[in-house]
Amino acid sequence: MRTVGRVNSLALVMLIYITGSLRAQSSPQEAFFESRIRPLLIEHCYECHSADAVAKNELKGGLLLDSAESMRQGGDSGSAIDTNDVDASLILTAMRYEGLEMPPDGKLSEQEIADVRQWIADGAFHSGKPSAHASDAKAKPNIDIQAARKLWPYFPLQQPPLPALPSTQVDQAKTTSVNESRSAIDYFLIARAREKSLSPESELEKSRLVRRLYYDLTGLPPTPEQLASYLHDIEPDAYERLVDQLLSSPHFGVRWGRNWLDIVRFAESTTLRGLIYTEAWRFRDYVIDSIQHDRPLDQMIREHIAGDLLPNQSIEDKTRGLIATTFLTLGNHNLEEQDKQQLRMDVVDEQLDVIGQAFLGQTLGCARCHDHKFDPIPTKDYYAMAGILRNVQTLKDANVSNWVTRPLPTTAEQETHYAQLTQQLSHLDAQIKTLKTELANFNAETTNDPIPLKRLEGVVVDDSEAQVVGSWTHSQHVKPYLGNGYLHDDNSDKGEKTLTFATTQLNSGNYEVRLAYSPAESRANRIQVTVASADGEKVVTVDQSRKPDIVPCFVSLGSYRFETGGQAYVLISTGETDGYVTADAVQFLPQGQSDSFANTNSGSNAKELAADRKALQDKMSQLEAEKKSVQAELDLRPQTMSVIERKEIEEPYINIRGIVHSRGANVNRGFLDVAGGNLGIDLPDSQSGRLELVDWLVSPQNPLTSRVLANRIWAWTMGVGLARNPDHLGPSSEPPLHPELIDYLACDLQANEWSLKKMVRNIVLSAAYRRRTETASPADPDNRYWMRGEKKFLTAESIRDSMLQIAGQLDGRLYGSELSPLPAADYGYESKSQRRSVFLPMFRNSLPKLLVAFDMADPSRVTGSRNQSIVAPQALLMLNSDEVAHWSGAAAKQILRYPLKDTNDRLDFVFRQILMRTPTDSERALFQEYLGTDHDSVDVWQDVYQTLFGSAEFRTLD
Amino acid sequence: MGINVSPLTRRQLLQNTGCGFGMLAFQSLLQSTASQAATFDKDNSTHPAIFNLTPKVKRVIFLFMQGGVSQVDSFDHKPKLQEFSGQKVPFDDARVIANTGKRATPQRVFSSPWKFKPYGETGLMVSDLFPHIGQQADDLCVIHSMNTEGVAHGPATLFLHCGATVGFRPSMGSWISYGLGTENENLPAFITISPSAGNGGPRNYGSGFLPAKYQGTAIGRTANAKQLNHVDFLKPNITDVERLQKKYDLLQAMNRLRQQQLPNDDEVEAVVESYETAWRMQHKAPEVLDIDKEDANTLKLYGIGDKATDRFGRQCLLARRLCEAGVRFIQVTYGDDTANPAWDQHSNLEKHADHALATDRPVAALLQDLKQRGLLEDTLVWWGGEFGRTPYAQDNGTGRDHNPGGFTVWLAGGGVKSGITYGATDEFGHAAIENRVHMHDLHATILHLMGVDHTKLTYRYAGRDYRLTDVHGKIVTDICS
Repeated sequence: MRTVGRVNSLALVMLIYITGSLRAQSSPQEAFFESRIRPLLIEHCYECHSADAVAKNELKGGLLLDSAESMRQGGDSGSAIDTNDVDASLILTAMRYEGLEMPPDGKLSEQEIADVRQWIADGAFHSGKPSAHASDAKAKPNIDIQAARKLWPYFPLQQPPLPALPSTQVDQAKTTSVNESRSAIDYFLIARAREKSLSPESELEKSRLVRRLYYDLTGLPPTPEQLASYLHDIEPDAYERLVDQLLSSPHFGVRWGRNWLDIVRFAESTTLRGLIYTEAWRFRDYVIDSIQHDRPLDQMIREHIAGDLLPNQSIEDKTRGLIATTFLTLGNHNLEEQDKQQLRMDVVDEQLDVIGQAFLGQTLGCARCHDHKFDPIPTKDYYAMAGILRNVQTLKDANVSNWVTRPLPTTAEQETHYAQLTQQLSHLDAQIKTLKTELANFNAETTNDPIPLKRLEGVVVDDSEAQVVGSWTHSQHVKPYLGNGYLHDDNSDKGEKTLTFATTQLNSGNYEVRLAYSPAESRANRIQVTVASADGEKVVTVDQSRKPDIVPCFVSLGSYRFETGGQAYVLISTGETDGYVTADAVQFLPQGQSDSFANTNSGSNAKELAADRKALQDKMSQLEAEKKSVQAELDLRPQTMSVIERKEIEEPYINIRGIVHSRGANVNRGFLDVAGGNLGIDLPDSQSGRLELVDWLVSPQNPLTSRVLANRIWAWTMGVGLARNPDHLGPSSEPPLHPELIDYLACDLQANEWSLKKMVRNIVLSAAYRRRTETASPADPDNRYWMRGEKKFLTAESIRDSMLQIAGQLDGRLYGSELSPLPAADYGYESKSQRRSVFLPMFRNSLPKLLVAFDMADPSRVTGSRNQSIVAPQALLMLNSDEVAHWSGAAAKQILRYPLKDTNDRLDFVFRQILMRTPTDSERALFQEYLGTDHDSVDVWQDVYQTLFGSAEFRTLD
Repeated sequence: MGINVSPLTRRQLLQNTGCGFGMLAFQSLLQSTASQAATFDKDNSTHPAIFNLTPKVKRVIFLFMQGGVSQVDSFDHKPKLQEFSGQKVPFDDARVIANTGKRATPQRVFSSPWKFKPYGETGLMVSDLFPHIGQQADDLCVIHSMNTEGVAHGPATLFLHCGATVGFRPSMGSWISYGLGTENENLPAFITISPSAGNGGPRNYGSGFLPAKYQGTAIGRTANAKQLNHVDFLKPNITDVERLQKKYDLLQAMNRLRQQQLPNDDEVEAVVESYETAWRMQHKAPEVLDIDKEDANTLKLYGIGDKATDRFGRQCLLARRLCEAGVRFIQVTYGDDTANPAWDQHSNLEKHADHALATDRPVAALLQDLKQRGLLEDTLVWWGGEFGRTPYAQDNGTGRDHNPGGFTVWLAGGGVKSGITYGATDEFGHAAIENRVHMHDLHATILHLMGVDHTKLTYRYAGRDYRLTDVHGKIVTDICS
């Protein structure tokens, strides 16, 4: 067996050893350093912590160990040596693997570590000199905030003047059908294009333009009737009227709500464990409804981040505000992260990342571990903003943490009603508990016979089947018991004994887990019982000195979810108990299944049961029924995902290198220095600062938010942003060619009270929007000057929704949840819904396949511009998908019912439905040939539809 | 799945790629759009920065043992466990540390119920769980000193696949597919056989922020034992060939008319090509996926037909066929969709025997089969899970908990030394202490074997140049041949 390992640089060590001994005459410390310490540093540390490592760009943790000075100065985690408190020296704790583990590829020997300790205790003599490299390495990249504030997009927003144009070009800037208005947009574009002597393309023909407009504003194609009505409208303001009509269509909210959902990473489940956000749909509906009603975008941002804190009066406003904060909770978190401090900061990081990209166009996340390498965002700014969100509770800690839900506001009367119900519930609980004890006592008195296991419901694991660790004693001393007796621990060898009741018989679902034990005063009262289910392990404390409250001798350990073949066991441990620990059986009772034992007489001595027992049981049934109905009414109260302000408001501190447990300098909560600093906004000691954060975000002085939104709206309308990456407007992104147009639109947005619809209207009425996409000119291949239209793809949603509409299958219901019944997890979920795509469940593990194939936004990230791919899997889908075939078939049956006079008429109709035009002669010939003589075959017409749905032309928007 | 590419993404791609690597990806894109299989050697001369050396392997087959195989019951023989069996010894338990910060908590040592014996000329110690793999000992490169991140399955599984415990990074197969393109124009570069829907599910073969064409194509799902060869939207057998052919012809004729109208239109051209590729795939892929055409001896070798080994045997044989067809990254999952997948024996450790029985023979068969076909020379086989298991028992006394701090994986095939072990855990097999190999290091090494410099395979997203190995990863040169 060969074993390959690190080759010891023995020769090198020897050499140093020898030179070290030669020098040793000068001082014992030096001799010790040269002979014992330096070789060790060279061998184990210098690869990553030396001037050489700096030269190779391999320095780790900012720490150099090649001189005394640099060791004292330390790295990111602080000084490496502490001669006053030797054992606290970071280098020593790291070598002992207490916290940091150095060297990472294997712990040093005890002798080596002892040597290092000795060396520090003796004053940490070091013969090395700080190198020039070392100072280079320490010099942090300096971010010059003042200089950056002079750059776009950080300098203050000001209304730019309209560029002057010679009169001939003023005409070009005029839009043709709205000849009174001169669009400012066109002034800016034409002026810049003049510099390159570029001239604009002509307006797109009417039938193509109407297709573009319908899809851009509603995500659906015009029907043949809508198409005809527009084409026949010869009034000069026909286009403008159509624009206004589409802006007020409910489908505008659907289409543009989806745009917004892309940038707020809307999803309805988590990737890990596939847990379903059952209330997230309320947020989706809030977004669509807000966009539809043109709620000011600054108000939406306020509500997203601080809706629960806004001074709202009406119940509607309060409700909307609370639902909007779902925004903060939708991240794709690792809820089972065991280090909850880490999880808390991961949640904050995700929120900051989304707020940063979506509203500020800044990649703040880069500054979590170090100052941003490209943009003017120092780490202290990151933690200043993180400090605000750190004071907000988004998750409830547990083995698998859970998100926060809050009841929706309601009328004072209703609030009182719910409060009464809650009170009633606790009252009922108390009554039930008392009654259970009575019943238990009654049972103990009346039924002392052993109870056969087969009389119990669900899956029962008897103590005879338990896995035993340590010595347990079988007993029949205390009656009643289940089966053949029970086990006890003899009240000895505490902590050395366990019993495990495991089963493999459960099917996926929820179960109530119960433990049967033998009660007596001598029993332990704080027994740790672990239940292992599909959601991990939970520890429950059981008091066996009390009588169990469920007949015949059970206590409930709670309700748990199990999976077929997954872990399912109950573990009883005797550690730290005082008194006898007993166990008789464990019962896994499927939720919802009635417990027949509790409701029937107990067999052999049925006849002896007195009437009062029956009375007790009747009373119990009645109370339980009452409880059920109260609970059911309480459950009806709508909830929403939201957040809670933390009670203790803490000021933040930097996490060195982003490591949560590595505490660095304190910082004050605040905002981005480069974007104007705090703009005179003070943060309160009594609240997290979210209200101030939203004030700052939408302040007219904030240079970023309105610029970012203006650019986003442009990108959503025109296909590409003026600044090409709408999620990132930092200096490291490609600078926009028309910054002054973005500024103009941003000012306009603010002046128009942040109205999305007004800006969309301005853009689609501009000449720039209406130009054709084809050009003969090679001068501007990437269309940076906007002298022609940008060719776009239909979105994935438009592809699906168009097919549904054309097939006559579109379910037009807007709003409301699709999730009934609720699946336990999102794995393998397939929706049969025929509603518009935005209403399909957005499950991270089961995204709709068709939408994924056509580049829907990844719901875990901010997506300001979607991928646009043309790949074979899309083609395979269009050829083979059962859904597409089904919709094509439905469309075929429909057209065969229409009163169209012949095949030509039908072809015209299909082409108008799908492509908004009639076929060319060659196309007509092609399809006529395909149809052959079989003019009325559903199959053949299905193929015609499927062909047009699959065509290149259908997918592109020119 | 992504098998062909749109010229439309070129611009975007170039904008997104950082530091010189862009050109490489661009190159491989152009090659595949030109319907030529991108091959290794072509790119070498022009991109020395990425291709720092001659690639040793062309393909990777990753046999994913989901849930975490116990190293001390399989390949990491620790006689000390027998000696201390049942006694309490202080250990640094990863879960306890994460929850409470407490170190050196007493744990009851749990000796392996299986016996170990030496195999092959090299005398590799293998437990009785894996007699067939043991027979292949002289071809294995066993790494005993693995360590990784994530104490729970989800995060650790994401880390294994994507190099991060959070959920939006590209999977390793996607990085490879992005860096090296495809070898076969009819098949995707990255295929995952019977993936699990749990513990990250599609994220584990997703392309993250890389363009969608680099995501893994799933063949079958672990939950669906009946349709092992199912690929979304691929028809396994076409009932009405004539109609589909006619429909396809009509569609392409329609697209070509559009192309005549718009001769310079990239998008139309790309759509036409995407249908051509899809059409070829529809015709060729079912053939590759049809393992029943293999001869009886081969089927027998893989244990196909025997109840215990049939399913995983089919998966492994399919992997070999895909390997032959030039798929670059093939993952074969042995697992399930639950929160406690397959090898996750928190209780009843004996169940390891069932999983070993199901996988041992097929895995050994795959190695033998690759070898006899000469494929093992330029294929890397990687066997392992998301973490290992503790050498001590859980409180129930019958199972082992997760252990990310020390576990075993093995490699076999091109580029790695055979018949060796590398690194070591402590005397109980708990913590990796000698020549530790972090999961980042394993990723770096595998990319290196494929001829790619892991520090240069980057993609610009959200203001950062991302890579599979983040800012970490050290190539384990000692195991490279």
